[in-house]
Amino acid sequence: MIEGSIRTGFLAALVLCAAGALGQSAVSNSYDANLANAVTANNCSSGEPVALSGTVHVSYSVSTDSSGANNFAIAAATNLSGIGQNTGAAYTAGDSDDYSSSTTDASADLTVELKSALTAQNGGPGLNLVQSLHIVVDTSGNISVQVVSNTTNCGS
Amino acid sequence: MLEAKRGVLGLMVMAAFAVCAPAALAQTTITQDTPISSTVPSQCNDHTIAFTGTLHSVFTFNTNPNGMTHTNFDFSVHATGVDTTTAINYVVNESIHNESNVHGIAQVQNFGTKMMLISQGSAPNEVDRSTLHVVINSDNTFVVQRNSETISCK
Repeated sequence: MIEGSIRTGFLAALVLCAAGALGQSAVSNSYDANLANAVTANNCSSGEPVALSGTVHVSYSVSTDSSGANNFAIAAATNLSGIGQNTGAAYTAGDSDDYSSSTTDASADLTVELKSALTAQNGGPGLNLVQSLHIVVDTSGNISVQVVSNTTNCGS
Repeated sequence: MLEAKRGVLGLMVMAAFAVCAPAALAQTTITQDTPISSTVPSQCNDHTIAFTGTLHSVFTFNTNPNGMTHTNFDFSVHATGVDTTTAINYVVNESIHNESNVHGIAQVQNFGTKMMLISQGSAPNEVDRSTLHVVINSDNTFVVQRNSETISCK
């Protein structure tokens, strides 16, 4: 009877431990910021505001050097479509860039620019899209990104 | 001798200046102009473009009572380039804005950048990508360099 109780208790403890392990959140080293009809601020007199939809995908890796500095290597990529708010023209944009931050902090907090060509699908004049991305890697290692602004300049 | 040095291909020549960043107090702004003198092969047409111009850097530091420093990195690039094969000129006028939040002031930041080379002739525009490498040391000196520059078709 006592042995059976011990065995039952042990098994119960194993189940609880497993449940606890499954309950722990995995660290996320990538993040998708989704845009839905985010209208650009247009600085081009011959252009137009464009309502953007799509994804800004950000990922990172981290290493620690011999001095104890943490180097966060970050990559950002856009995959966007848009609708011109004056003409109804369809646009697409897609580009990527890399950034890195090295400090003794256990986290990273950067605001960076990502530029891409906003191409009109009807062959009309395109625009240059400048997105400001606020990227944070917290002390738990989770990355998040906020698209702070979407601005267009005249294309070239 | 100087002409020979300028003719060296495939080198990213950016002077690194050691200047004093401010102690981490209140808000301080520092500026620096770094000359651009480089020759870069174009992946678009296998030609080489020789650049001259200026990288203008403006850094603004704000330190709050808990020791966090918010840094605004504002860069502007004004340069001209010439295709050493066709003699077609290119113009670069770009601005870049980035920010960081760190404990203290020491940091190394690498910002990927993209700039348009605007053709002044019959050739199409091209795209210049590079990395702005910024080192701010704990002794308040800093360095700005442009590294890993590539040129490709638009």
